[in-house]
Amino acid sequence: MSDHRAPAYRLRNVSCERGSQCVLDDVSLDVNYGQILALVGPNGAGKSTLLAMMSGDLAPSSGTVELNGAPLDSYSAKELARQRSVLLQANMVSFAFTVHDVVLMGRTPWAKTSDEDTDEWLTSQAMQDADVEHLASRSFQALSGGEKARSSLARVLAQDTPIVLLDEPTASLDLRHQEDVMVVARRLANSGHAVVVVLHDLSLAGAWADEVVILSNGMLAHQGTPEAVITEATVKSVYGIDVHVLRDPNDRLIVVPKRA
Amino acid sequence: MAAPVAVRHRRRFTVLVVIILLTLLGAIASAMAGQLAASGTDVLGSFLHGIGINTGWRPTDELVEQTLLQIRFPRVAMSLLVGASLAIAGAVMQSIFGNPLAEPGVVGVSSGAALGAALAIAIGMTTFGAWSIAVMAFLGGFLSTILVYSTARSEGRTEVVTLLLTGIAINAFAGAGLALMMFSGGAAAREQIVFWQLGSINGSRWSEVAIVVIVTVPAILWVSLMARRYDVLSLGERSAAHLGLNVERLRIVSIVLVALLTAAGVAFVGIIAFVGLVVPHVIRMLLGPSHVWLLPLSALAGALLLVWADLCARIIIDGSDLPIGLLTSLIGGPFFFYLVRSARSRAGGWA
Repeated sequence: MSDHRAPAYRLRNVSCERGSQCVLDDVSLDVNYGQILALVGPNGAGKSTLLAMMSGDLAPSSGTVELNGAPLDSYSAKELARQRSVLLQANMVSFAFTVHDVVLMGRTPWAKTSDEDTDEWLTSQAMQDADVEHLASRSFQALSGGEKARSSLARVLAQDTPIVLLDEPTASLDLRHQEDVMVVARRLANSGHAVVVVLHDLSLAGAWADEVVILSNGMLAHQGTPEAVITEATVKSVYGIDVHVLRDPNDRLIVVPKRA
Repeated sequence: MAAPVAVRHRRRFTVLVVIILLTLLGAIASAMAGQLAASGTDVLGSFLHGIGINTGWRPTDELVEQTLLQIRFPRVAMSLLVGASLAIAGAVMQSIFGNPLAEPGVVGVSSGAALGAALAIAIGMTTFGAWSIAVMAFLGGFLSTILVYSTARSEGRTEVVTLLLTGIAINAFAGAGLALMMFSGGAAAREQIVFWQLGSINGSRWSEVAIVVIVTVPAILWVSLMARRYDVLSLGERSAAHLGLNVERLRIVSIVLVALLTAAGVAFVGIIAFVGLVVPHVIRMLLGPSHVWLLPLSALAGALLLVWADLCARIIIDGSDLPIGLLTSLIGGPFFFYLVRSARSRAGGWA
């Protein structure tokens, strides 16, 4: 597979300008295998842009992005597809493909390298993990937002890559499925995958991430363990809101706004 | 899921067999119809004679045989080829624009090709010999596709409303260009352009069929080989790229092939709209959206549709040969209307 001594990603002084606006400003960051890295921050802080840099959709206007120790742009589209999978925020499918068809498309980068049985097995495994087995023969277009998100997650899991990039995978999900997604992410990280996940829910980030990065106005504001980064002071300074940072009975972080 | 898969396979097989049988039937019926009556055995006998097998079915009347070989057969062949090309071109366009409403006629590729061809007719161009009209049709079709494609895309995304609006603009411009050709051309050129603009397979010659075969058959095969990629593309550009698909290259190759497939037909039979809209839609309803089946079966069903449409065009009104483009638009227009209405109410229809 890949050289696991090098970090999955090494970003150095990455900036990205869109038009005249600076959406990422001098971000340096390592993403390591075997960890969940949570990207948090207010709307428009540059989380999705940073993820697009890692996935190779956007090239930085300055700075360098390395994947497994080699420049990201030295990878072909196919090589990249065997290294990292990406779940976008919005997922649509143009024609009435079934959920099973869509998840099976996740196997595309491995065409001709794996046999059909492996593809089927990984596909059904992924559908189990994302809890969409019962939707297998339904048309993707006819699903609810949350079901679409889970089916797309299954497609990403079926791609079976060492690096998994998830942009707000929990956004449209109910409480149970939010937890399910994070359990899957945890399992991936424990088995050596690098998982980068954009989250809005600081409690989810606090409870599940190994490392949290807070972006603010395109800059990397804070980085470290959840305990070190998610504090009343940092949340106040980045989000401009007063919060309580509490502990649940299992000593995991909970973030709630201070309400009158 | 063993049972549904088996059912699906049987369904595909049934549809395939039915389409092939109906196409053959249509081809034979089409060759039989006309002022000079020919029987089914005449048709088969002449066909076998044509490919070098002499049987007892060979028509005794020399005139019948010559009519079949020189007039009817090239006409049937042309309708099959053009139908297949237009239908598969429609399916490919719908895939690369991610919208079931995209079609060479709607988007303006057909009229762009028509303008190119009309120019060649009007100025009596012979630069490329027998290929002149075809080459100009291709250039016109290609340029209008590029124009639509570059206008309708911004920041790597295809805006479908923009796409259709651009199509309107190109259709209007090409319409004006055609009118100008007719206005300024001589009487003979004028008549040629008018008839040809209405779309008719009447008067197809083997030399023309040969050109269409050379252009469309490789294009149809090439497109069919990319079926899996078109499937992945339906996840949207970015997700398709994340799965290792070279989206930009796929689109450019597809655009060239669509322009070729459309122009080859338009150059010799004129504008036949809506085949690329109706056929893939029906195949999708029957067999689902997978391009592995959609593309080849659209080609077959397009051949089926046009061979029967051409037959109808000749026999609906006794003694007259209706323009086939008129017939397909008569059916295709309301169908497009229905598609627009159903797409409007469904999520993802526009975006």
